Amino acid sequence: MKYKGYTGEYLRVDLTRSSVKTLPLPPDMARHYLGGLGFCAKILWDEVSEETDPLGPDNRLIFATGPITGAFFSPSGRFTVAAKSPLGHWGEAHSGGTWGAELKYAGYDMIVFQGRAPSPVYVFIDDEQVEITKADHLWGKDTSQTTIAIREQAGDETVKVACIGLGGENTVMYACIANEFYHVSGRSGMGAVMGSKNLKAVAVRGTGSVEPYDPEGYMEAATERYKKVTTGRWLEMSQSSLGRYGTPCLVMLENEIGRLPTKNHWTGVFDEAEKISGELIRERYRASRGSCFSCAIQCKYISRIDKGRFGATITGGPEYESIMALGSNCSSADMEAIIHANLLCNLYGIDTISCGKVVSFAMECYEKGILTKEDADGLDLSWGNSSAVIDLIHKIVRREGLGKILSEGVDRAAQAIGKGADRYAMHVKGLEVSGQDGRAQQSVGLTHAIAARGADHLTALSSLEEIGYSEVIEDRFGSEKLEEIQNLLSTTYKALIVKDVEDLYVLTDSLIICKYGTMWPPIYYFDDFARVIPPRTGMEEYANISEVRLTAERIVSLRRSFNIREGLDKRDDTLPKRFLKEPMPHGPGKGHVCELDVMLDEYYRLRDWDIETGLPTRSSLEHVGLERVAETLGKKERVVA
Amino acid sequence: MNRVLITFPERCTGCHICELVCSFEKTRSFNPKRSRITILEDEQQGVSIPVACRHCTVPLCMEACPTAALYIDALDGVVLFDEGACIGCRNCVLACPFGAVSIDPLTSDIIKCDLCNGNPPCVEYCPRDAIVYARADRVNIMIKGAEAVRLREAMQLTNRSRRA
Repeated sequence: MKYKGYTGEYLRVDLTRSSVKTLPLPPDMARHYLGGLGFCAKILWDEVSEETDPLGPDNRLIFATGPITGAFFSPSGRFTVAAKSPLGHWGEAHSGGTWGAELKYAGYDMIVFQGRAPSPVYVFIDDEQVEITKADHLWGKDTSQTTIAIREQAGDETVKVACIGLGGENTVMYACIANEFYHVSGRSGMGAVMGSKNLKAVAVRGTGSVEPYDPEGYMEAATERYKKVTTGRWLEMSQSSLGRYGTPCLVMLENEIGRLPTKNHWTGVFDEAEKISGELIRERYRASRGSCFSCAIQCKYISRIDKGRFGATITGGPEYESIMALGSNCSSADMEAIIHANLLCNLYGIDTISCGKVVSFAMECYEKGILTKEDADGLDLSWGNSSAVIDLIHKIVRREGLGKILSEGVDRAAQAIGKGADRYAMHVKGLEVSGQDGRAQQSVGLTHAIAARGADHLTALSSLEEIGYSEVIEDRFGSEKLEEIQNLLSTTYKALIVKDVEDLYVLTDSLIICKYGTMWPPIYYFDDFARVIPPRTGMEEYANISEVRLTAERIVSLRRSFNIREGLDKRDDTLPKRFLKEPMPHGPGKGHVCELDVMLDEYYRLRDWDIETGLPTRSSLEHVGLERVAETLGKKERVVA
Repeated sequence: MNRVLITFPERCTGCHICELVCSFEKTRSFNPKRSRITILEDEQQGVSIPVACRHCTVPLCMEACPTAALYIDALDGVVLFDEGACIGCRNCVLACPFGAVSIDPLTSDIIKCDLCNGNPPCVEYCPRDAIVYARADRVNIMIKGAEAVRLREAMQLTNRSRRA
C-alpha cells in the first residue's frame, strides 16, 4: 500500500462458502473515497444492484474504518456499517466505542460480508487469524449476553464484540448492531441484514500498530486540533453541554425552539419536558461518565435505576433521540420507563428512534380509532402509557401479534393496517423520522427529505442556527447572510448550509471522526481535514481544500447514484404530510409548515442535479470523476444530460 | 522536591488517549497494547481504571531482576529500565503487584514507564486530569481537597435541612 493511514488489507468473508480472504486495499479506493462511508459507497455501487434482495445472500454488509481510525485524534473512534437497507435503498449506520479501532489494530481497514451462513455463526478476528465459528449457542441471546459469552469463550474480557440480538435474528426492519454493550450502529436496519446472513457477531482482537506517513507532522496537526477541543470557548461549550449532561441536554433546548417531537410529531412542545431533561437524569440516574475511543469531548454516560419497578436497570444513555422517541413522542414523561425501554432496545438490538416512532404511530392510530384494543392484543395504547411502550418492544422483537406488523416499520405497517393509517406514518423513504421537525427549523425539513437512508439527522443536520453559532455562520457564509441563516423559520440560504454540512459530514464519516466536533460544537471544517489528511496518509493532494471538497462531493454523488439506480428520485425526497400541510400547533414554530419545495429546488441547483426529477446531471457526475457511474445510469435513463 | 505520578480512577472515562500518546512517544506509531500506561475497563458498569507504574521507593520489579536492569535514578527517584542489561526473564513482570511492567506484544521485550524525562504525554493529554504528575505536597492537597469538597457539600446539606 503506497499510502499510510491504512493497514492496506481488508477481509472478504463469504458466509455461504465459509471462506475468508485477506485482500489488498486498492490505493485508488483510498485516494478517491478516503475510508468509512466512502469505501462503503464504492463497494455497494460496484457489488450490489437494484436486483439485490436486501435480506438475501447477495447483499453486502460492510464494516469500514477510515485513515484516522486508531490514530490519536479527538474525537475519532467510530466505524461505519453499510448495506442495501431492508427498506430497499441506501443503508448506513455509524457507531462509537472501541470496535473500529480494534479492527484496525488487528490489521484490517474493512470487512465485507457476503452470502448467508447455513446456520448461525460468528466471526472471530484475532490479528491474522480469522475464524468462522458456530453460534447456535449464542442464537437467542441478547447483545450483552452474547458479548460476555464470546469474551468468556476467548478467555479475554478485552475482546471487542459487535453483535445482534433478537431484533436482528428476527429481521425486524430497524434492527441494529451493538458493540461494547451500549454503542450501536442504529439506523436503517443493518442488524436485520446481519441477521439475514445468520451472522450473530463479529469479535475482534488486535495487537498491531498504525503509523502516520509523517509522524511528527501528523502529531503536530492532531495536537493543534486537540487543543481546539480542550481549551477556550469550544471546551466551555462542549463541556457545559455534552460533557455535563450528554445529548439529553437537547431535550430542553429543542423544547424551547419548539421542535421536541411530541405525540407522533403532532407538536414540537412537550409540557412535561423537564421530567425527561438532561438535568433531571444527571441528578437522579447518572452513574458515571464514559467516552468513545480517542475522544476528549466524552458525551457518553451510564444510567442506573437502583430500586422500584425498574430496579437493577443499568444502561448506556439514554441519548436525546431515545428519550424523544420513547418518551415525548409517545407523550410519556416516565423517565424510569424510558431508561428501561432504552435498555431493552439495546439488549434486543433495535433502533430506539424507529422503535419509538412505530409505537407512537400505533398510539395515534389507537387515538383515532384505526387500531382498537383488540387489534393491540388487549394493550391500552393511550398516549403516555409507558407500560404499553415496554410491552410493545417485547412483542416487536418476537414478531408477536401487533408487534409483527410494527416490526416492519411505520410505512409497511400503515399499508398493512390501511384505513388511512398512512396519514400517521412519520417516515421518509420508509425510515422513521428522527428527533427534529422542519416546521420549527426549516433546514431540518430539507435534511430529512434528502438524506439517502431516509428521515435522518446525521446526514446533514445544521446545528449552526439550531444552537446559534453566529461567528461560525459569519466565517463560513459571510456576515451578510447571518440574519437569514439564523432565522430558523426562514428558508433562505438553508439549502446552502444543508449542502455544505452534508459534504462536511460525509468526510466526517469517511475519515472517520465524530459529528460532535464537526456538528456540535462545529469545531472542525474542511481546512482542518486538509491539514490532517496529508501527514496521516501521504496523500499530498488533500492539502488543497478544493480537493477535500471534491472528494466529499464524489462520495455524496455516488451515494445518491445508488438510490437513483434503485429507482428513487425527487418523489422520494419529500416529507410526511404532517410537516408539509399541518401547521405547527405550538411554540416558536406555531402556524408554520415546512416549505420544502423552495429549499429542495435550491439544493438540487447547488448540487447541479435536475430540478424536475432530482436525477444527477451527467456533468455533475463527470465533475467528481464518476464518468462510469454516469454511463451506467445513462443506460437506464437515470441521468440528465 | 520530587514529583510523583498518581492516577484518579474516578475521573477516568476510558478514552484511551493516554495509551495512544504514550505509544506514539515510545514507538512513533499508535498502538494501545504497546503503551506503558493501560486503561482497564468494565464497559457494562462504566468503570475505567488506569494502571501505571508508581515508581515505588522499594521497587519489587528491581528486587526481582537478576541483572540489575531495573534501577532507581539517583536524581529524581524514577525507576528506570536498562534494555541492554535485560536478559528477558520477565521476573519483573511477575513481581510488580500492579501489573505495571508489561511485555511488548510485537517484540516480547519488557516495556515500562520512564516518565518521559519528566514530561509524560499521558499527563499532558489526559482530558480529565485523571493522571497527575506533581510534587508530593500538591498531590497530598489534591487528595485531601477532594475529601474536603465532599465534606463541605455534606455540611451544606445539613445546614439546608436545619433551616428548613
